[in-house]
Amino acid sequence: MASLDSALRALIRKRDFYAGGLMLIIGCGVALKGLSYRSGTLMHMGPGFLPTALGAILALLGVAIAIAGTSAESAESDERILPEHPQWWGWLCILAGPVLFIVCGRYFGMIPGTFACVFIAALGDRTATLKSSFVLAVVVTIFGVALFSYFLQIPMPILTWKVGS
Amino acid sequence: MRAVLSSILALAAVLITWASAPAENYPSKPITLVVPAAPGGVTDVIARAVGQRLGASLGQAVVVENKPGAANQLAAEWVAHSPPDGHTLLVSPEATFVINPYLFAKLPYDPIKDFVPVSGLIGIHQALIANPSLPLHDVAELIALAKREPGALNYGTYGLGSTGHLNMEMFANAAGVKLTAIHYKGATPALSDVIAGTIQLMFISIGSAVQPWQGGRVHLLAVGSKERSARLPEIPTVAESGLPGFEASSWFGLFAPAGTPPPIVERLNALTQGILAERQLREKLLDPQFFEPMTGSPTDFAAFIKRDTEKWRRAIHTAAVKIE
Amino acid sequence: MISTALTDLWYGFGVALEPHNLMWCFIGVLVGNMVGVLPGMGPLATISILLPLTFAIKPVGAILMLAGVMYGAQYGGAICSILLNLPCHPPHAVTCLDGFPLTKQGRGGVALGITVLASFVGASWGITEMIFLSPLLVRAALEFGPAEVCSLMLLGLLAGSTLARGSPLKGVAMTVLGLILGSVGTDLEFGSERYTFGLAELDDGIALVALALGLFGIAEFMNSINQVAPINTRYTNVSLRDMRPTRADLKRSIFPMLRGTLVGSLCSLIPGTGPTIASFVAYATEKKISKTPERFGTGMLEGVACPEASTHSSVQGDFIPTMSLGIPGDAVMALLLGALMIQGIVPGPQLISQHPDIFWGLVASFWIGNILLVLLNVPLIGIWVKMLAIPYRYLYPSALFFVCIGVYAANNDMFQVGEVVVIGAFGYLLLRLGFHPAPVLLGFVLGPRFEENFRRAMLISRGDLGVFVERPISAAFIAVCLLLIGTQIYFRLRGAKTPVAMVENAPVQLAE
Repeated sequence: MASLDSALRALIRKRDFYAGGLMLIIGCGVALKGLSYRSGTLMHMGPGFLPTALGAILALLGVAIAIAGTSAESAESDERILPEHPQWWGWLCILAGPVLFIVCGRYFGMIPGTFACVFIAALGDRTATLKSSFVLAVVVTIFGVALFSYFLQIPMPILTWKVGS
Repeated sequence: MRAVLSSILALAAVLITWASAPAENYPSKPITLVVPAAPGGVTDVIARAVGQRLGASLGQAVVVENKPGAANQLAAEWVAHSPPDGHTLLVSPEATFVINPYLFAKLPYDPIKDFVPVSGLIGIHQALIANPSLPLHDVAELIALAKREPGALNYGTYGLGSTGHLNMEMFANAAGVKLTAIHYKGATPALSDVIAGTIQLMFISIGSAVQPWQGGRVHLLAVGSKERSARLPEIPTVAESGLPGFEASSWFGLFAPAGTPPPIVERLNALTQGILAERQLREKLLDPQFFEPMTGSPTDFAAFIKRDTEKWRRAIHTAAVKIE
Repeated sequence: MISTALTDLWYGFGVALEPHNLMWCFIGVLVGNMVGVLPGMGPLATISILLPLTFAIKPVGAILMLAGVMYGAQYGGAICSILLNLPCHPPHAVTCLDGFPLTKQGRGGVALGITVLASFVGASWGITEMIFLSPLLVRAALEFGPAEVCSLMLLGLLAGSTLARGSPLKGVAMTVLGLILGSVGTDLEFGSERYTFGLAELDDGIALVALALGLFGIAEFMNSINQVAPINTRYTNVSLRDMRPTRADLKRSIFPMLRGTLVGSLCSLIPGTGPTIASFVAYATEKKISKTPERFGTGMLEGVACPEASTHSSVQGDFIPTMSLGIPGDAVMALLLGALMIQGIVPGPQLISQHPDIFWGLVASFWIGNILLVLLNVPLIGIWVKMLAIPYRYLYPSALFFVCIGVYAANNDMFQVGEVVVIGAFGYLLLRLGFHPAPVLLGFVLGPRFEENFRRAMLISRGDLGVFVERPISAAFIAVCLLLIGTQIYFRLRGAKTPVAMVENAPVQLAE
């Protein structure tokens, strides 16, 4: 009993447990949704056939990965999911950059979109200051707009006001 | 009292001028032609050819914006929600308006209420081609073969519910035969497979069929127009080959968002009609590709669309095409 | 036949070297090269923007310029892959695998140099093919029916799933994940929506560009932010001499280049396989036949030379069915033909005879353009390497912007930028869990084609599975598949003294 408990504990600490688990979850999800589409037969495959099969395969692989992880060498088990210094703020800024590009770009145009994207992304760096990010954003905006809008003629309005449309 | 009256008059004058200003100052900025297809396809080519000349006439740049996706729905939705000032227009194949409503349970746009038909652009007729390995030279032989082996002959389409698909189903229905549909993503891979012999038949625009036929790679069995093509007098029409009244066609038109002022619509129509009549355009693009310019006013176009809608509704019903 | 081809080619050079034509060619390759360095946008969007320019110029100049954009873009694509682990376009994703480690070893310049050479070799072969072998190749291509393509896709999947370093189980899982992602969208045969959750924007599937840039770009940024000096200053104080490949480097790279070229030209023949698939297959093949497969992914020059050569040869080869049959091999070719149509030229088999100046001028311009590109790119290598000197905190926000606008410009669709974010976040999670993103791309690209062709083959054969082994080419591919599986199993059973086992035991490097 005790050995099972400690084995389970060891398992949960191993990264591959989660890796395999993720694949298992995704695989099951895909397969279950795939069943709602018509499967058909191998000879005449319906829309659901391949995705369901693939989902099932992925789930099985997930289990295999998790099991393989239990017998892994120490090198593998030293890897952790989160890096030594998780950069939550940095990651947030990186992901927020494109989001702001989409929102500002769609409703206000290329200049606000570019500026917002670069500004917020630059703030993610530990050594960045508000001023350095601002300057970088301005420089990239000028250069980017010149390149993409004037030279390459990308169909995106530079400055607009589309709120409410 | 007089001051008030004159102020009111002045205000009225300003308001009237302001209300009619959009039409008079049109176009006041570059015009966007939205194309629901990737660059390079027929829709795109037509939009660019017409757009370039339109821009020259209007003195404003005309920009083509490609918004492919979701069976023309993305582009249609975009234009439907654009400001109706004549600066955003849609160049679209017929599918968006006359086929999509019957193919899809719901659409993000209303083909009738959200748009104003401006002008028909071009019509295309489709030709029936066959792989040379089959001993087929005309429609009669095809029908005979198909009757001998029901379901054995494979034909290609450029998509489920495309005109190539529906036209062939109408043909099979009229001829009383059964053919098997094989769907492709686009006309080009389907044409390649007809040439290679993987599939035997397909309906494809005459313009795309001529070169392979002249090169001996496919047999041109018939054209789907009402009368024989002037440039291909030796090819019979499907109608005269035993299926009277049969027509395999497809068209492209120019549309504006609903609410676009009628003067702008009329002006665009007049300009477009003028462009389509240009000799240089006909010689360079329309004739070599077998594009047939569509004539008529916006009202004529709207009436045509209504008639065509009914035709495709019946075709989809006959073909029992449904999207699961 | 060869002599007529040569005379025609001579004539073509005469056309291509006319001053205004030369100018258009130069403009085309210049713009193409520049666009190639920018992530996302690609030749399709660029050519569609340049199209109006061509209305006013003669057809020959127009097509020279537009074609120049197309193959010019391929030259720029490897730069960011090697230096920043950011593939600007999907065909260069594989180049990241060995290119970026090379940069970290301070040999980024060498990698770039080899890339330019590989590009030229690949392109040259593609051009030669086009001149002498067109009719033969077109006929061979017609032999490829759905059964053959399907078997080939299967082979590609099997070969490629162990393409990246790390545990094979995880590699296969990533390939399967890629296959699943590829099935998102509208079903071709029944029109039903799969996994689109009601979003019309997903009807045509996840955008390849978004997937590539999200998995490789955003995930990479998240991986590198605030890390201590990942690639900086140390590697930029290299002299020009250090950037030149040594003789040993050249010797190592020449055969991979040739092999990659061969793979690329094969892929260009087969309908529906483009440079992306070519680059993956070339890399996977090279790794499989190498004596040291476990070193792939740590900075092997072979791993850079081979996919780049295949990409270029594939792109040049794509012109063959387009020019010979008038049937475009992909979207960019369709656009080129559209440009010709607007000019009043009917594309098709008669093009060569009716407009020899266009055809042969184009072929000659390929040579000229590629030479121009080599001359352009080699001196620029030093400048690109200096780019690494920019502190990362300035580099990554700028690169992020380029990614956003590039993805938007590729299809005028903001939704795809959104896809990049979501995929990027998920991709980073995968990285942290020890998965490698490259096989996802492979599965994504091959999967839909596999399914489409499998179904088509089944429909045409009326459900007879035997068609895959009855047709000779398909049977050959299936045989190689079985061979692959067989050798894998054999090595597994034999135990730890084999390369496969070594790969399995090697710890997964994250920043690749």
